Amino acid sequence: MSLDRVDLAYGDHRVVSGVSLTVEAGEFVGLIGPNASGKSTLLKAVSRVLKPLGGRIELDGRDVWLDLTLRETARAVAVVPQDFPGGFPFTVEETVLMGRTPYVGRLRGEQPRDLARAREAMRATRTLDLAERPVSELAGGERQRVVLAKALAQEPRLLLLDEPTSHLDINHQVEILDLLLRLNRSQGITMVIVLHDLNLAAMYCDRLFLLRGGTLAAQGRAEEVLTTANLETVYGSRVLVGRHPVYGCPEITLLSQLRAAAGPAPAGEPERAAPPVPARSDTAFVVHLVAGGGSSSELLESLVAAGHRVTAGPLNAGDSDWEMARALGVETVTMPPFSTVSRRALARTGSLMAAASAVLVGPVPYGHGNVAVLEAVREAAGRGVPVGFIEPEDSPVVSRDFTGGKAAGLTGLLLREGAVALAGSREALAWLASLSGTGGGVAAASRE
Amino acid sequence: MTRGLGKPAASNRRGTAAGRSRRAEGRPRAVTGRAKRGAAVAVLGGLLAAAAVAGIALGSVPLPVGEVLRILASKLPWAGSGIVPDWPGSHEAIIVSLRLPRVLLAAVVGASLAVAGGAFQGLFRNPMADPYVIGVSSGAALGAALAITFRPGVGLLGLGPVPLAAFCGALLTVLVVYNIARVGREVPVGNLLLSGVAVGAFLSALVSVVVVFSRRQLHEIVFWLMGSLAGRGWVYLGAALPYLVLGTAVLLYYARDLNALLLGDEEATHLGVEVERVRRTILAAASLLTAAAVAACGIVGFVGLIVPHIVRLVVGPDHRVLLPVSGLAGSVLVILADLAARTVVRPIELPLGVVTAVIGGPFFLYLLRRSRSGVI
Repeated sequence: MSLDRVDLAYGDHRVVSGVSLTVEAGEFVGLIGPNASGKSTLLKAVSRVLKPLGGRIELDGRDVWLDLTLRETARAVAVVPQDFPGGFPFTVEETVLMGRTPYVGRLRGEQPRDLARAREAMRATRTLDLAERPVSELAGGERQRVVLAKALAQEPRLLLLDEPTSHLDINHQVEILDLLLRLNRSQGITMVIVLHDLNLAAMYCDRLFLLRGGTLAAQGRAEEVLTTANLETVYGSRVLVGRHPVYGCPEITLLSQLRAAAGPAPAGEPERAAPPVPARSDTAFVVHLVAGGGSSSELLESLVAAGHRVTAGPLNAGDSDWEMARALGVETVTMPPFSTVSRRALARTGSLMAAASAVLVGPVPYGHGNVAVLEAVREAAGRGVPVGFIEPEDSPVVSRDFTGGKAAGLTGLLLREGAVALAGSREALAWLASLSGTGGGVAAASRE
Repeated sequence: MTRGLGKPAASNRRGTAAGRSRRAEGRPRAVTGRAKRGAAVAVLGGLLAAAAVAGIALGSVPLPVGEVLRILASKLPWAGSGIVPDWPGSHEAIIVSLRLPRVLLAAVVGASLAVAGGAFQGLFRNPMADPYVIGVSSGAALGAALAITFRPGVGLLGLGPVPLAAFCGALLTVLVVYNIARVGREVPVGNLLLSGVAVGAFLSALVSVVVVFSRRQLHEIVFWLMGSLAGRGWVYLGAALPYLVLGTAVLLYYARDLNALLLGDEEATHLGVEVERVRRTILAAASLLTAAAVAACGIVGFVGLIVPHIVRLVVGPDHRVLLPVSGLAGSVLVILADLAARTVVRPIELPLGVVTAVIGGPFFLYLLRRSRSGVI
């Protein structure tokens, strides 16, 4: 299947402009993109529901709209829609047999061959047992398998699927997609699937096409398309791209615009007993790092690598910064997962900061759960501990502030009161080097 | 037939033990489908014959069934010569020139309305649709009311001005409704339904105006509006039958496409059905069927709504079975309704539309209560 500079519109409303893409026979590709990016509309143009304003859509080298009759198209291309009307109670078998419509002569009726094809399709989708049931009485997953059986009865070379799993539970999502993958590998049916779920798209598709506002924004293998940069530009939302722990394909974690990294505490959960603060040598230069939400793992690593003694916290257990701190043997104030900073944790953090030669604040997302940490930082600064804020150009504190300005306000106040703004970890290390070089700053000096 | 009316209707029809064992034996379903269709046709064929004989035998002058059968047999071209006429000539006249054409016309009208109703319900994907849903009846009514009032001296093939005007009014209305609903080259069913309702209401208002101004023919107009087969002879039968044959043939030819249309326009397109062209053809065929029936006997309600409804409960929504079986059932219903119309409160003859509404309304409510799902 290939699309060449295809333009599509509903009436005067242009939906797709100049999309060109090629899908090889036997491929399993996904169309992804935000709502109204034109994914489903593209499928409609291939299945001859919506005629393109311009461009060519070819199937095995023949123009779908010019060289093929509708009946011929229906023998080559089948569609699995998102939703299937169940108003009139056709049985499962009657529904699947409808897939033979492009083959059945009007006066001849269904031949044994048509019945056999329908049975095969039902066997492949495990819907034979449902044959006599009305489609309207089936559950979502069963119904979608029936719709798939109907599409398979058309003996298509190309199967177009418009979010076939969006109304299903996770077990049925995997069931349907596994079925599609099996059909793709065993029968060589080319699959073009519109998916909302990026993780499913990454898991199943050979290649992905990322659409944005009716144009093609990216295409290629999942690793090439599902990058933080692509997703943040196209979807305009914050995501973390990691690896699937089993398949190694990209795995997308969504980030809330509102939720702080440390959310509300689960009621009644006791705080984890923190290890006692070990006595440390007076000569060591100690940096306390305020981290969280996976913002500072890299920084933590480079601080330790630079030979500094580091303390950190408060951090929620399970947070990726916490994982890193634990891995590096960094002394950490630990709180239960997703809990708010408690008074006790704050007090311990305060004492670590007071004992530190410098306090470094990473590019942490602030919410009501953790903004109190900044108060502790201010208290430490009041005692003369030098304070540095990591303020990357692409992520200033205002963009991480979900407290309605409180965090940004405190940061600004601290900066005016003498704290240092640092652009990244390299500047941070330079700043720390200058502090330790001059005897570790005011705090260290006073201690000596 | 009664089994299919149970609750819930759909599962009664499908989930029977017989159905499961059939599957277990692995016999192809087409055979059993054909068997079901055959059984329905056989039962209804028997009912049709019985209803027809009853319709001919009963009336203001009851005739013995044996005599009726012998008179009918004597008219058959190859077997009739062997039967010696031992009946009064007046009986033969009653049967041949009055009751036989009337019963046959009742059968034709019933079949036309039921088949058209089934097609409209499929076309609009709405089991509440009926043959009059796009204003055919109001158009026919206006035509008939005008013809009754002004009595133009035109006629065609022995038909008077009233059926001709009703027929033309019906078809004109369909054209108007169709063109109002059209958006470019497409005719969305929602538009069709709405413009049908609006045009129908407008035309009904015009009919009322005509009724108000035609005092002398008031009775005749009202009677026509309520539908009747009184006094309709062979000429009417000859005029209506070709439309039944032709219209039903076209609808059966497109029955499979009609099934696909039930799944929605896009789904039908995916299956290779040229939606707009098929829809136009079905609309034209069903409208002609309806127009011919209305022209012959006025507005007979409920037949086109109820018959396909009940038949769907029994044989399922497949139009290849639904339409012909509906036709047979519609014939039976209208023959019996007409029989009731002329015998129940003799010597007064009730309007046919009144009888079908009296039978149909409560029965329809009963069905709705029985199948709680409400859709079918």
